[in-house]
Amino acid sequence: MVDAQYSTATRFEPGDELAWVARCRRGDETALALIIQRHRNRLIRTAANLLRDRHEAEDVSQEAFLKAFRELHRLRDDRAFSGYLYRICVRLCMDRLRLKRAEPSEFDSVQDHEGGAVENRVVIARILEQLPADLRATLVLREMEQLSYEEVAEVMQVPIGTVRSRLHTAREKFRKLWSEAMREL
Amino acid sequence: MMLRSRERACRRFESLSSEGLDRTLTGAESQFLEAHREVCEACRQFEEQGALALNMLRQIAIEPECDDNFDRRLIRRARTQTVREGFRYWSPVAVGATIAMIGVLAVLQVSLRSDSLPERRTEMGEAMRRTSTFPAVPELDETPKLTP
Repeated sequence: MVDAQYSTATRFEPGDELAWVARCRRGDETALALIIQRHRNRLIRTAANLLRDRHEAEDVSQEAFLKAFRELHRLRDDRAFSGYLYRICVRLCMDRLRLKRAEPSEFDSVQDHEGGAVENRVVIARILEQLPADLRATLVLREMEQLSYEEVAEVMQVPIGTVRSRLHTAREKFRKLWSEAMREL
Repeated sequence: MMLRSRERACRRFESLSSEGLDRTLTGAESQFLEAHREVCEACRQFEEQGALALNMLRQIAIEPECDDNFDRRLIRRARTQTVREGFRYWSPVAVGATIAMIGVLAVLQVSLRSDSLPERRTEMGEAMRRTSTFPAVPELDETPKLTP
């Protein structure tokens, strides 16, 4: 829910984004609130799936919004705002993943698990932690977020061929780690 | 020789089963997968495990509920950011203006001080001439006479 002052704002129609972004440029807070309302769920969900942490996901989403608003003047085409915002969010998540990978966590190996007590959810989360940031992001965007190859390529700013090969490698690694973990359980 | 061709077939199977997740395989490719599945237990298991793993991955996708305060906090942060950005934008101007003001004040100060100095007036068109003669020094042999 947004503040009462913003709740009176009209509903967001898909074609209106252009106008709202333009109003945002002029510092209109109602437009700001509507844009946040429209994109926040998607951003938080993607960040949460990439980072596997809801609180961190909210934090990153806020950072992404702030960065997008701050650098709105750089955006040449207002119609591209949605993709621009999403790209910033994914990039911030990848930066965090890289930092996390630099400091290995105590759950760095799936072999540490106790027999059948471990839920599949935890195993998968830990397998994901073991994948390099690029592979992990590609896998999550494709498999969890259901983005097309073109969309993944655009978000990660790499050619489609790279997405294809990264996805193949990520799936192979994921399968391998999963099989190993299942054998251990 | 047999072993190598088997390995090659397994590798092709792995590659095609992965590609099959994203595109429609041709008839020949599908036939190859089907035939290989029949003869290779390891690849069959590999495929099943893979499919299971990816299904699990899709199932654990998080659907977070957005915190009510999210928007409020974000708008507050955006406001602060706007103020900070505004300050950052205008700060070089403020610094420049301050320096200019200090300069103007300094000039004013100097000019006021020169105005307060004693004015030496000279006749029009006549340059002020300094006398090079020092005031007369009484002769040494002339001792001043003290009056009782």
